[in-house]
Amino acid sequence: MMMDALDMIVDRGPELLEKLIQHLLLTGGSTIIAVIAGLTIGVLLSRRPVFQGPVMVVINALQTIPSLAMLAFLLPLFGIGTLPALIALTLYALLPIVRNTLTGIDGLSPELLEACEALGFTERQRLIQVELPLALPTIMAGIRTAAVISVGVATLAAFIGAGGLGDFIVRGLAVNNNGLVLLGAVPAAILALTLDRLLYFLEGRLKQKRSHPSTGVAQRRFRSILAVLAVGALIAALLAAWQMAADPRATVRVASKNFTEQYILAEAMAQMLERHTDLRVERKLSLGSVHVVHNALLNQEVDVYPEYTGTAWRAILKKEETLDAQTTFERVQQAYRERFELEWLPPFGYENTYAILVTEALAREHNLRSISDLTAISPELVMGFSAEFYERVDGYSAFRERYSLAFSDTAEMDLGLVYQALQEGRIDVAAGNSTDGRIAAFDLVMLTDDRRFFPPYDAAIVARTEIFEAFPEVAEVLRRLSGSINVDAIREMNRQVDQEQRSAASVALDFLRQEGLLQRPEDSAAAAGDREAIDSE
Amino acid sequence: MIKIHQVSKSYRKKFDALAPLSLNIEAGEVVVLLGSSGSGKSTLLKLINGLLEPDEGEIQIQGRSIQDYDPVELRRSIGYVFQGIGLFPHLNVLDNVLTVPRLRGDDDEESQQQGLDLLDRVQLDSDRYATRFPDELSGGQQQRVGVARALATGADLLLMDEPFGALDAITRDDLQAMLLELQQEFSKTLVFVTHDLFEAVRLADRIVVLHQGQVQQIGQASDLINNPETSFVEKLFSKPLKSLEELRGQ
Repeated sequence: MMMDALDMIVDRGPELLEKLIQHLLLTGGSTIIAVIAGLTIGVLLSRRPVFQGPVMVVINALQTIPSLAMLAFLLPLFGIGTLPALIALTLYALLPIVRNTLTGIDGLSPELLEACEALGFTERQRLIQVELPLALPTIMAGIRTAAVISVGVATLAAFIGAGGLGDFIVRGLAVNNNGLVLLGAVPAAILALTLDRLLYFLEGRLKQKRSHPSTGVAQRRFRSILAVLAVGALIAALLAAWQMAADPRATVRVASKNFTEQYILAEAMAQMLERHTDLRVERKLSLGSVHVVHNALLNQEVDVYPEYTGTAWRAILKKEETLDAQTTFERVQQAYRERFELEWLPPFGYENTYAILVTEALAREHNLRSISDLTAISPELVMGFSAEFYERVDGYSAFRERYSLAFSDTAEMDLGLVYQALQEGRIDVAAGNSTDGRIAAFDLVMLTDDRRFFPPYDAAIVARTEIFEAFPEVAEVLRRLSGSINVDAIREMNRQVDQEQRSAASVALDFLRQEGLLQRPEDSAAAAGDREAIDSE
Repeated sequence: MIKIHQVSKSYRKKFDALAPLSLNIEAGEVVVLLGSSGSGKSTLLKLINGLLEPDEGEIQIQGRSIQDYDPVELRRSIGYVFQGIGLFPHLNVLDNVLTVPRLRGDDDEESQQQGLDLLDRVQLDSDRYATRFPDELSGGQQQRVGVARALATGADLLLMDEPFGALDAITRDDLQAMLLELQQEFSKTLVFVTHDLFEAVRLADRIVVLHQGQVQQIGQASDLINNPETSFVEKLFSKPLKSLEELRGQ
């Protein structure tokens, strides 16, 4: 166990460092902005008590918005990536800083403030020389709280492609890999504690300074806080600039949604591009849903990702009819080209539809082959599915209606858990993914969609037309993946990630190697010949 | 030095915090405002440095109405000693003493040296105390710092709001003696608020007796004792005198 953990850290060392830096930038950047904004708001409120009530209500309300919901609200306004994450984090960090600034200043004894007036302090002098220095411990406590909150909330920034340690957590949850979750969670916890201690230490240093017999201590102490903040901001800016400038090459950004198969496909795409083009490849993996990725494409925040024709058909194009695979693909391709300036490449070669699953025993007992066979016995059965299946327009309730099903109960759970729940008999029917490796591993039976409720879900690459025009080699390279993956191959790859806890990157690499896709076309006439054969079919 | 002409002040909740009052204070004079709480003595003090504005009447300092002064400048040119905590807890003793010169932007070797000298003047060894913090000092020592801070302004006029009220009798006696010594040396104009009859008698050139916002009598201590103008003043002095007589009789 120890060795496994160690291996993992060594194995993922460079990535861990990268995520850690991203996380620090997110946390540090938002905390610094929140300190500046929070101090200002706190001080202004202490001067204008009338506004304290309304403003604090707003700031408190911001705090009660669940982090994921906040990110979702910001998506349409600011798109994906670092900016909306920074805004969300700053909004969360605001409350403790504003509240503590206000409490710190309001808590000062009125006699002392009257003394300031009688001695001839100006408003500004009183603020800088007396109020802020005396409120400093309370304010610092607020800043520490804000920083710790930021570290925690920043793990959720992964959902909108801002990176950070949350990437490991989201990915770990998606592929059922606890080690990966811990690789994100443990450093995040350590980071939170370290930041808290560091700020506490800094506060102590600031206080110690006062014991020196020196002049203008109060101003200098306040200036030193400002200096620390300024240096922090500068370092953050430099790091960000360095990240940008480190690589002058043009960049193509590969995105994925947040489940196993998407990681594998995105990795395969990214590795192909790295291998066969001079472009820099940036991975924006684990974006929350089809809508998030779709908007990111439209906002030119990502360039290419794997999607399923049926998902585009139902969720983006809002079509209700169910057509055959070829027609669906053609219509989706045409609609995307015309409406969104997005291009679909020919499918990978397999379909990942909703799989309505039962155990082999149940199937044998009731002679179940198609979903219609469930209708009669459904009142004795419990069905389990993911929250997504429940929520979709083409999800549970429409499905139940189409097949006249009346289950005795339903259970909502993480998609990764339905297979095991089915195998263990805790549910009788499950809605899973048809490409999941656990269907075969657990001997589950997939019932046919005889009333054609689900549209075809062929997996294929979607890209911005613009990126294909600017870099024709991208289309050329990615086209080599069309028709290269059959359903058995993707099931096996999914299984290796979900069951054997291998990384999506290494599974994808093995696959590309096996298929000879890493060789340059001119290097391997045989491989090229094979592809032509497929294309011409 | 100070001309107070028919000045009155009332608060919203409390009528006649100060009924119309006129008083001229000469340069170098020590005037004690004597009265119990609610008598209007602190109100008068705050009117003099512009912390409060009079409802009616006018106050002039050195021939100029205080309305015409910039309030911040006015206050920096008047020394002020507070009752309870007037010291800044986050500043050491020397920094506290130099507060007002620094507000004015005087922050050089000379003012620093002057601050140290003043500490010695109020009988605090500057070597020992300059870098201490207020919470490391006794109440009496803190108030010595307060006096040094008022002197450091270089002001000719000092306002003292019950500065020794919270001190024990022996410490208070020491500080009164110190104040008299300093007064002999610097001959500042001093307006001193107290509710302590003996303190008033000891320090004052003239005493202003206030009761419920009304001036009862203005005069030297001997006038007040020998020729009380109101029954309040008579009682004020006769009571302690009687108790002393009784004590002597025993």
